[in-house]
Amino acid sequence: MKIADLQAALLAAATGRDEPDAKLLEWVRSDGPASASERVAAYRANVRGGHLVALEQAYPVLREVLGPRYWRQLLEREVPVFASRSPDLNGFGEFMPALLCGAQERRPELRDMPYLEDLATLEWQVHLARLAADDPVFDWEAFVSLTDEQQSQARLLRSNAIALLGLDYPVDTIWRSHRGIDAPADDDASDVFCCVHRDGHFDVDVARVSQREFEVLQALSRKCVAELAGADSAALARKIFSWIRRGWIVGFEVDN
Amino acid sequence: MSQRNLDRTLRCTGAGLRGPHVPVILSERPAVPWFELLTDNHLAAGGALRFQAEAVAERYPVALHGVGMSLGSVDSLDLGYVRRVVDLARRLGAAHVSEHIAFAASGGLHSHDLLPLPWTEEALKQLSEHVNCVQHELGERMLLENVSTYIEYREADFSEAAFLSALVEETGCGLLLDINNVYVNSVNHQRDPMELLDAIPWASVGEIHLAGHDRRGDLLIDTHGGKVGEPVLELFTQVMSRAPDVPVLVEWDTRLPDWETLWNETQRIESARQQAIARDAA
Repeated sequence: MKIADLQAALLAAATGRDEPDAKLLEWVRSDGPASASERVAAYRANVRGGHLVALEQAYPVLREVLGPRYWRQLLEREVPVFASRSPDLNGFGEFMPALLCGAQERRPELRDMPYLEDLATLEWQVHLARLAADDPVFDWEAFVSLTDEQQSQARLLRSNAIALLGLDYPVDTIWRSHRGIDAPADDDASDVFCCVHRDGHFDVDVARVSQREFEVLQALSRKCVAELAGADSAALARKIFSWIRRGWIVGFEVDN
Repeated sequence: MSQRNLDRTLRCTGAGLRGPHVPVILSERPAVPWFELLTDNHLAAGGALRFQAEAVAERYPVALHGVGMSLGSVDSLDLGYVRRVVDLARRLGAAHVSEHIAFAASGGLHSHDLLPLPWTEEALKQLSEHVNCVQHELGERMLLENVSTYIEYREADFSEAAFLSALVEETGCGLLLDINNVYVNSVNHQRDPMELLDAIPWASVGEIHLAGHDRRGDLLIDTHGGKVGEPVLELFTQVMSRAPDVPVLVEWDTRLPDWETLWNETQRIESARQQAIARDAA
């Protein structure tokens, strides 16, 4: 018995859907109150239980929309391996949008819910925003001490706890209503743009932004203020001040 | 963080810190001697979990207990992960860092569960290399916990107790003795729990864990889902005086009760600990 073979076999049995292979069962003692396969099954139940809890914590709204029973059945059938590439369980679940996209092709009962993939994408970004690194506070004093020329050449830095999403469906309304937050009224909209962000009290919210705001926010780290402004620099300045106040912009860089 | 005036020594019976209890702990400041934080819950780069860990560590002595290192794995250590743990321990001023005698990963895939090692020379060598590496990163000894197991392997060069002793000898690590796990294993593998408790190197025990378990079919499962069971408490009081100054921890993870219930359970265990020490000293 090589330890590498044993570990590969037990991990496959604990995380996969198949029965443990015969070699593993030969290595396991089968005396005592339970058979070797019952004993291996205890690990499989523990692994799945742990991963289901992690997914439930990352996707509470999706679980509510699908119903807890169906949610569990779906995961049991559609997740091929309850394992991840990271030792950090917080990173488990990134696959959910793709899983739902695939499941919708196979499962007729999901076909009238085409927005599920977008909802999963949104919830994953909410999950990541909760865990993102804390930001510095915007240094107004340093910014106003720059010359006008330096300010126009500055590149503004977005918060670590922000994600920008362009979505086919207005799933932010679903997310907000499940969280008990007032939702935008236009829940028939398509091609919506959202900003997932965390506030100073660690609460995560999802704000609807216009396509123009979305593009400017996306371009912040690549373009300087003057390049972003376009024709209406006064409107951009107002917007930037509002984003700084909301903590979406947390700093700036100026080339020497 | 302002930690200068806080005595960071772990004493008596502490409690495992769980997220839903943090607001009441920070507002009411119960007289808990210390808290153990689940390392993996507080590794986030920022946000509420990081803030909560720092706020608790400002007010109480803390230890870190992790499940993600996969120290017994033949896969190489994830040094990035280890360094995040070391950074967290330093930031919080943790009294010690503990992990498990188990593996969780193989071929780059992580199960996020504690899978059992065979008690063989090969496993000991692999585990010792990884423990030495982590201790090098930490700059101090770590504690390794005996895990609950649902399988044992036919091939073995050691008993579990002899494996623990050899690990301590090879690495200089300390042991985190989980008495609930000793009991669970004694039932699952039909052996006398005192065989292990009489044979481990008690001088190396740096922490004791107690928890609840559940029966699933013919096996006991280490669920941390209730009060410490009577047979576990009995074993604990039987051996407690072998390490009277070692800090004890109550773990409660599933079916998490309100803080008051966990605090009452912690105080019940502390009372049993003191009675056992007084009884054996008499």
